[in-house]
Amino acid sequence: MAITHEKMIEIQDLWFEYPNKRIALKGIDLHIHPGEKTALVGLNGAGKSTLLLHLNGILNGHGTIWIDGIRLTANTVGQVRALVGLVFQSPDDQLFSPTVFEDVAYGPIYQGLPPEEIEARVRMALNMVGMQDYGDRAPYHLSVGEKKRVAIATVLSMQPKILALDEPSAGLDPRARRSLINLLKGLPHTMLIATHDLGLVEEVASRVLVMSEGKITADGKTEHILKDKETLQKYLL
Amino acid sequence: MHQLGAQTKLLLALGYLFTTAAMPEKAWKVYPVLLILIICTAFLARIRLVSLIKRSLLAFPFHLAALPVLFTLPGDPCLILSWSKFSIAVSAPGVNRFLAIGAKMWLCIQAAALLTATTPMRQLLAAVDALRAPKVLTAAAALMWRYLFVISEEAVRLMRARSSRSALLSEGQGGGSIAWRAKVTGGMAGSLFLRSLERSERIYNAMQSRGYDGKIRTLPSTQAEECAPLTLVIGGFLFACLLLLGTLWQ
Ligand SMILES: Nc1ncnc2c1ncn2[C@@H]1O[C@H](COP(=O)(O)OP(=O)(O)O)[C@@H](O)[C@H]1O
Ligand SMILES: [Mg+2]
Repeated sequence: MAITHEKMIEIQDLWFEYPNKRIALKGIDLHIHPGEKTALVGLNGAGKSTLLLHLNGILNGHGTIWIDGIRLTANTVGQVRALVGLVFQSPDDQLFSPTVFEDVAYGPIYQGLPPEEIEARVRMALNMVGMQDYGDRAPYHLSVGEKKRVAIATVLSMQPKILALDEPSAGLDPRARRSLINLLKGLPHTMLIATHDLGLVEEVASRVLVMSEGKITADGKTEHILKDKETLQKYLL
Repeated sequence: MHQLGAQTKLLLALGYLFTTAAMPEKAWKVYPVLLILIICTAFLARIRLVSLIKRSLLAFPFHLAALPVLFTLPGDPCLILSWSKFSIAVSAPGVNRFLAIGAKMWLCIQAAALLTATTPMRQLLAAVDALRAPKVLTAAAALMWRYLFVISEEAVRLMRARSSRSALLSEGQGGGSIAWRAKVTGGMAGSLFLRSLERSERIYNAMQSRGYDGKIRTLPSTQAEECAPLTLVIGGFLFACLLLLGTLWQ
């Protein structure tokens, strides 16, 4: 893949403290290029989810964030949310509508698109995740793997440039996991994937960021990081 | 019955509720007619009466709320309850009103149970929406419906976790005082509440991520289904007749 010098995600010196005084991010610096699929690994509590929630302004720490050249501020947060599709860890939190169709249509509705365009977007998104026949189903009655796919469709319908996924393979059976990996491999988006699944990292991501206690402690090509026994021992195992 | 549009069914049910609520309390001869209406509808919809009656038990706690009218309505005392120095009189009009409220409530719940048994929740919400109810209301109801299952499943999981750890060593009374058990149960309720609260925060995040800005927007409902006018007119006429009958025939 041709590396361009534009950056899709750029974060400078990002700090975040939860209301209970827990400092979850301690000076994050990060550049991600367009089309790059990056994995974010680290133990529970390292700050992965907190970082992802900053990408579209759900949480606001100290520091600066640029998404596709737009600086994230209170004024640009709407624009940025259209660029970043955030897929939450629990699909039950992500799928809050009575039907799959309505859930996938939610983003486009809030983007103010005309009804025909919304329909087309929903169909396109459900097609991309292979769930085209599930529009009328209730999210509650789907299997975990199906819910996960629909959850991804709910952000694909917004046509974002970036997909930020929080532990996408957690709780999936081997077959659902396999098909999720294939799905992620096939999507063209810039991705930031928080995960513990090193198999998924190896197959999907070209780059790995290792997080530990609110800092990025290692950053490199997937094949290098996964072979680096010392780093893995220190921050992951 | 099942072919009728959700909107028509909703309007008919509302008409029934209104008629029942507005029926004069002494119109005892009309109440059986109202009941027959329910039974016929259930029959047409092929709903078993047993399941309807089971659902109507839900109304029982609400009957308790009507208890005070037994004592507060002035009139001839027909029963005097006394307990040491206190005595309290139950008046005849009080009994009458209590029974009427009970009957009305029971009939209304039957109607609501019938409506929900014959109409999927989703269509019902769409129908309420089409009748121009405030969007906040329908959106809140939709969310409630969506997460009712999730939360009740969570409760079931909690209870299972408790029962699987409350084994008995031998026959007889389990360990722990009643106070301790109450504390455990209270803790479970609290933890369920906290989890729901945290979940609501995560859902709100998910909504925000997809552009939610405090305003509720939905797709204009595409299948604005036929509101069968004839059925509605017949229904309205029937309800009006019943009300008239009830007023005259006390
Ligand atoms: N809502 C919250 N309130 C307070 N502290 C939190 C909250 N969410 C996470 N934390 C804390 O912030 C740190 C980072 O958490 P998180 O970003 O969820 O880590 P990860 O996703 O890598 O497991 C942890 O120490 C966690 O306890
Ligand atoms: Mg996390």
